Amino acid sequence: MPARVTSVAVRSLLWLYPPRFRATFGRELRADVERDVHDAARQGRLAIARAALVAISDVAAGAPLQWLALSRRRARRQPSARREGDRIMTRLWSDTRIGFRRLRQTPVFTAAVVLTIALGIGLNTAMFSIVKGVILDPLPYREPDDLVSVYTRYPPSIGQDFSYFELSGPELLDLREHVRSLSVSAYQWSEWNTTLDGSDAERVQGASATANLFTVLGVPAALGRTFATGDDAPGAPCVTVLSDGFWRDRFGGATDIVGRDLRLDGRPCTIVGVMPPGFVFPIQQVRLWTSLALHPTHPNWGRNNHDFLAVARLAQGRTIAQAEAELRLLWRRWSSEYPDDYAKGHFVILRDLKEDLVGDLQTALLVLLGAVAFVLLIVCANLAGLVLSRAEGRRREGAIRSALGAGRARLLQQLLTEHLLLAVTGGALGLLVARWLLPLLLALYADDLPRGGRFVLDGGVLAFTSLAVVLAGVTFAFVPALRATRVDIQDALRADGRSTTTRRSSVRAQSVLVVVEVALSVVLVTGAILLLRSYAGLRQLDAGFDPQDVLTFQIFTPSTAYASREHVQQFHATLRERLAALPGVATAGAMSDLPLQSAGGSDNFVIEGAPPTGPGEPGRNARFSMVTPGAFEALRIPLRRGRLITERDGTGQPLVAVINDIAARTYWPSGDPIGRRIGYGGPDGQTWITVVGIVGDVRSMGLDRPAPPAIYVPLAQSPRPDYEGRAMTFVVRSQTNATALAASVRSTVMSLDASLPVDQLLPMMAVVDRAASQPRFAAYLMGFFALSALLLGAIGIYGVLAYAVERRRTEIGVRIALGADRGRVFRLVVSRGLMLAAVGGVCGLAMALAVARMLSTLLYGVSATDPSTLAAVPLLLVAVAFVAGAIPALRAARVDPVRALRGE
Amino acid sequence: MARQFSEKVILVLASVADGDRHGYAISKDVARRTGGGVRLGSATLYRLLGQLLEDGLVEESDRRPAPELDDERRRYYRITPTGRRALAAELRRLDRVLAAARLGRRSASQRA
Repeated sequence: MPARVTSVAVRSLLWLYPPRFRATFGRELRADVERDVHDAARQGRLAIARAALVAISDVAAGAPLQWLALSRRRARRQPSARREGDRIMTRLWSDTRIGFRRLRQTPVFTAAVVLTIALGIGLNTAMFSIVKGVILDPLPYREPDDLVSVYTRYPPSIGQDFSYFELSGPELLDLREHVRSLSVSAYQWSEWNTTLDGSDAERVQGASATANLFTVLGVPAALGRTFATGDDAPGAPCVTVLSDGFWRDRFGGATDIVGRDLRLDGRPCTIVGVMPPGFVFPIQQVRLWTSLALHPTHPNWGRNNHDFLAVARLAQGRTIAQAEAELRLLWRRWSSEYPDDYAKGHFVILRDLKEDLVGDLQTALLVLLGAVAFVLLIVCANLAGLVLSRAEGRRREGAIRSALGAGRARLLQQLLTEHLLLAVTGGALGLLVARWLLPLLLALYADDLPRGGRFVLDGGVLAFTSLAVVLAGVTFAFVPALRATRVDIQDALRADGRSTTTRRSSVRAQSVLVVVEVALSVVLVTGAILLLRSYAGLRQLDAGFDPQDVLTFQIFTPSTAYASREHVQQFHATLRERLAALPGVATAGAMSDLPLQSAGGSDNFVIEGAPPTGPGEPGRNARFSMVTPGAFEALRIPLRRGRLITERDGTGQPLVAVINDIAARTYWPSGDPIGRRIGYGGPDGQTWITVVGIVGDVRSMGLDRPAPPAIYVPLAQSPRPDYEGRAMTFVVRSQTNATALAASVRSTVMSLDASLPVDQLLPMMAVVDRAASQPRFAAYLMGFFALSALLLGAIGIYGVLAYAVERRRTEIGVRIALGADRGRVFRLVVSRGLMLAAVGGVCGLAMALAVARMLSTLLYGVSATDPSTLAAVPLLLVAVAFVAGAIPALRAARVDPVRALRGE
Repeated sequence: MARQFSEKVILVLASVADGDRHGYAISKDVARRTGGGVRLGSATLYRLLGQLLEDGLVEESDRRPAPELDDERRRYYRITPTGRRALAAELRRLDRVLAAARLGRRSASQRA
């Protein structure tokens, strides 16, 4: 289907080319485009869309270049053709001048049209440049299409539904050894307090990766080198590569940086290189990379410790299918060698790297791009209506010119020139609008867009804009121009100009345009209402805590300065005391991960006295967090039963834990968990912890994700050796206003240890905002588009009715003179508007149902075919149509029969 | 013939210099040579080919692959002797430019 559309589009666009080019290369060019789209088909729907878009814009943008090349060639070779060309140019120039003059005579009309086009094209250009930056632009790696992310998938059939889960170290070693079709690099997220020569510490996000990372991505360093083989051997000295941004911001782009030691959490690490600008992996926020030893000495080693992410490049000449076949073979081998570990049926899968990085946003952006294209269509329909009624006024002029011998083609050319002039001016202005709109749109998205920050109005965007201008110009100008030149000279020249044939059919054309506008608006309004309801639902959703008036920040205590776990705990305890003593602070506490922000992952545990789960059954697992007293209170996470964690739960006291509702319901379906003991396995046997309380569920992984089972233990007891509590997030409830506390919080931390950076100092409301940034982005934008569409639709209806009333003035006058009731005249006109709205509404609803499927992945808690929404839209439309129709209807009802009949 | 070629023209010429190719194969070959850095859209490609044909640097080749591998819509292009000379001359010129540029940089860094 897209292949057909592309092929037709390319074929039509070829008519914009010089005939000779079309004859020589047309067939080949079409064959190439078809082949491209065909090849893309293997990589999924998005790839097809991309290939199609690239092909169409390429062919569209190529036409003027080809003409240019031709005219240059002619100028070089054939003086006679040059004269012909000059004649064309002269005519074009004179048309342009006439056009300008005429447009200047009607400044309001001109300004209205130009501004409307500018807005329509500006919106489209801005939206397209976002889509281009996020989706269409190739990733900044060598042959990025050959890159994949490697994951484990746990199918839902075994009770653990993780589509894209990490891999374990031994699995990755096997992959590197046995899968010939892939070269695999493993990496982990990391965060460090970084200092250089005793400078202030800054918390920095980074990644540790095996030494082949940059080889796999195929990007060399801009300065120094990337990792070399052996950099990731266990015990090798630490080396790090910096991102261009980090190098510039932090070290002022000093070229002598290579070879110096950066301290990461106090540990020296030699800077070996700096990456080129624009290099990002895997996300913008990662500012440096260190080497990672993928080796059994790694602290989290084990076939069941899924702790590593991986990126891989297809080997030269291999295909995804071959790689997947090898993976299946490897899986079979694992199942027979480690039957217990693989009994749950999880397996390794590959995912296109770009899809992995962009994720869900892709659908949202494509839907929004579709929506904004609808807005442009509505704009064009509206302008076509406007131009139609204006063309009426110029029939006499056209007739006079034809009577004097101007050919129809000449007249058509003149009109088209004039309208294209409008479109081009509007488009140029639209570029300015886009420049201005782009930051506004990006700001709507509270978080950083994936691959964000480098949206530029470049060649591709300009090509898109030119295409939009041409399409808009042709759509809104061609039909009216064609109609305006089909004039019966005698008829038009009759002095009273009361002939009606042309006018009646022009009203019909306008009505069709209005119906189209209304139908398109219905689709947009439906989409907007659904998205807004979904977003409002998300915001009203009880996430399990109260974010109002809470300030949060993160502190990491590195092992160089805080060697033992006692030091760490001492620091947190003192900080908490001082924070709680600050004026204006109600409660202060800390937890190892903040609601809505945790990345997922959970740990297995056992219940004392309960039989162990068998292989193949879902294990007992829950998110494991450490909390201090005051944390639940600060976030107002409700206590259901038992007690919360208190100051008395310290070292030496019995080990205790608080669990959440869902954990209690899932793992103690019939019994009472309070007083029962749960155990975590360690190298030296189980650690047993007594459950003392149950708290409410908290959505820890995101607003739209249900709360997972959770177990909270006191930081002071930190019963598990693998959780040290070095990275803690503080939550401080203010008595008045969270942000007012920021300065005093910062200085409190400084007074304790000036070397520790205060990271992510944010009101909790901002954290919630950020969690909802994607749905809000989609909902607000769609709302804005829908509002514009409704407004344009209303103007369209108003325009048609106003014109119709004007045209039928005499007739209405006669009716009133003959005793027609003024109320009836009013109803006559208004019902005409309602009719248009009704026809458009029905078509629009049908269209809305047809595109509902695209929306459904963006909705939370609302069905894409939600009946109340679908019912509300026509009502809204009727209201709008009534208002739009009322003004001309009132004017009709007030017609003075005497003046109307006198023909004034 | 003192005209300087654009980067894309050089790549297209170099591609057909290696053997007769049809248009699609040329654009793939250019993408491969440049590691995906230069992607020739079809419109660009045929515009350049059109110029090269006019200038006599490339001509249509009458050799076609075996009928079962052949797509009758495609035409094959081959470099002309003039084209080969022009390409060689252009590459030599660029070599000289590059050598001169690198030389300047080396002495600049030595001074620093």
